[in-house]
Formats: sequence, structure tokens, C-alpha cells
Amino acid sequence: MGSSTTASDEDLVRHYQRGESLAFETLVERYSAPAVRFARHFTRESHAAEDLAQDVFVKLVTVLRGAGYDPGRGRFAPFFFRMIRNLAIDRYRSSRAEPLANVELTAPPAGQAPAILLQNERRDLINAILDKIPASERAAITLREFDGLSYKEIADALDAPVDSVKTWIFRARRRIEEAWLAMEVKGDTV
Amino acid sequence: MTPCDLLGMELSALVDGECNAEDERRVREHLLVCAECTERAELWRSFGDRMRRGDETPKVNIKIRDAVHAELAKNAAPARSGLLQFPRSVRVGATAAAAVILFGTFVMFSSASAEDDLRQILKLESDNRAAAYSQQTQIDSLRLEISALRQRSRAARLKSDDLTTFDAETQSLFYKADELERRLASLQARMESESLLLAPGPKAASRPPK
Repeated sequence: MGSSTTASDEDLVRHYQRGESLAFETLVERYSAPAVRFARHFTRESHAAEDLAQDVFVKLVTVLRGAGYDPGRGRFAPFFFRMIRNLAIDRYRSSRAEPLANVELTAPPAGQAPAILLQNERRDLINAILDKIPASERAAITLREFDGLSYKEIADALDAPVDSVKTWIFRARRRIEEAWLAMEVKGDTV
Repeated sequence: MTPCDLLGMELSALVDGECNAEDERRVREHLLVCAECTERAELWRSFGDRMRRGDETPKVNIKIRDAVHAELAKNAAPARSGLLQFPRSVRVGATAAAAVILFGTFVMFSSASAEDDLRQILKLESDNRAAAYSQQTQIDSLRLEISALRQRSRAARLKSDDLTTFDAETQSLFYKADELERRLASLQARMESESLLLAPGPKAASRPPK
């Protein structure tokens, strides 16, 4: 391995399992933002998402020490995102709170788009629109666009059929497109 | 239903490189005659870049890092003392196995430098992280300073009888705020370039190249 390359997630797991705690810290560095972003699909709130992501990393320490994940049997990313999802579901079951990830949010009517922009003036329009689409579609499109997971890996992470993932991503794009074009007609694109 | 409606989902899959051969052929044939779908595919491709640009999730989460440090420290101690709880025969066997493994490791390390390379990479990434934390702290501090200066200049402006003119003090505060913003932009550019060094790939930050 040349020094110009970057270790893969799976290599980092192997090295951590051999006792290199620095390898785990690199994994944390690499995955803390994706973990918080993904956790937010379930919590809908940044602080709660941070807490959930933190608990997953703490749990991951034990899981990897106990060989709960074998890097030879699949990529780390879908395994990790699935851990976040499972912990979010456990939390819901124990708290009996409303499962935010299952709430079917509606896409914003075209006329509402400028209001979304005003409420989120520091954020890009697309991410403001993303907040308003159904959670399953949002999770699928972000795992694809931010984290580069394949449809199969997204299906593993979300515990859903590949065909559903394909549909969710397609619908997410259509909703974003509709809101985006509505903004263009009004001449308000960012 | 139009062909565009029928092929919409396959077009989305094509954008992601997830189309099977037959569907890909159908979609590509359609794209040759449909400017609207060609334009749509380009728009969909642009969404990913726009999402990543607008994302405000901090790359460095100190709270999570500290919690993990604590957990790693907590987990390391019992693992070492736990060996003493095993029967003597097991410990002797384990020691012999460890000796064999150590010898094997010695041979491996003396003949190959792959492990050393990885350690160097990890060390480099760790150093870069430390620099990033330090820069983030400076940025936070600059942001606070800019915010305070803006507030003071706004207050001074409100006091002024003529809202279109600024006194020397207000002007100086604005200059200082501008200077701090320039420093902030420079620091952010440095952080960006260093995060590129750390990032595993240009498209997906969490997905290193194989």
C-alpha cells in the first residue's frame, strides 16, 4: 500500500480489530457527518441526531471488538447505516414516541417553495426541499447522493427491497424537480 | 401515459448507473428523440452536487469524538486484565500461540512495509485532524468576533442622526469586520483543502476508493 492511498473502511475495521485504536478514530472522523445526517432522518432534530450517532459509535466499539462485523463479508457503510436505523427503531419502541421516519410527509406545494427558502435562507434550496419529502425517499436519495451507496447497499441499510429503493430515489428526484422548476418560474432560484 | 412517464424510473436508475442492459438500451433510444428527458437527466445529475454544496453538517463532531475516546479507553483496560481470569493451561496455550503470532508478525513486518505505510497514513490523517480542530476553533472565535463587531457597528449606526453616514468609529469597525471575514475565508479555504486530503473520494466522503 503506497502512502498516497487512503485506507478503505474495511481495512480500518481490520486494523482496529487487531488493536489499532487510531484506525477506529479515523472511521469516526470519516463517518461522523454521514452518521449525523442519516440519524436526522429518524430524529428530525440535530441534537437528537448527534446523540443517536454518538451512541451508535460507542456501540460500534463493542460490536467490532466482538467481531460483530466481518469486513470480508460486505462493505462497512451499509452495515453502519443499518446500525443507526436499528438503534433509532429501538429508541422508538422504548419511548413509544411517534416514529418520525415513518411519517409520510407531503411534498411542498409549488406555492410554498419561496416560504421554505425564506425559512432556510442560509441553506441551499434543494436541502430545504429535502426536509419536506417523505422520510424513506429522503433517506434513500441522501445515502445515494452523499454517501455513494449502491441501490443494493441502500436496501441493506434501510432493510427494504431494492425495487423500493429505486422507486424512492425516482420519486425524490421528481419532487425536488417540481419544487425546483416552480422556483425557476418565479425567478427565485439560488 | 407518455414514454417519458413510463421510462422515468429507469432514467433515474440510469443516472445512478443502476440500469440493466435492456432498460438502458430503451432509455438511451428515448433520449435520442426526447430533449425534455435529456434535460431532466442533466438536472437530476446536478442535484447531488447541489445537495453536497448546501449541506451544513459539520465534518468534525467533537462531541462524538470525545465520547468515542472515552469508550475506547474504557474498553481497552478490561480486555488486558481479563486474561488473568482464565485457567493456567489456557494462559500457557495463549502465550505459546502469541509467541508464534509474534514471530510471524516479525517475519511479515521485516519483509513488507504495507503495515508501516498504513500506520503512516493513519498518523498523517490524525495530524490533519488535529490541525482541522485547531482551525475550527479559530474560525469559531473569528465568527464570534465578527458577530460582536457587526452588533456594535449596527448600534452605532442606529445612534447616528443621519443613517446614511457613518462616523469614524463605525467605519473602522466595518473595516475590522471585513478583515476578519477575509481571514475566516482564508482559513475555511485551508480547511477545505486539508479535508480534501482526508476525503476518501471526490463524490462520496465516506467511500474510499478501492
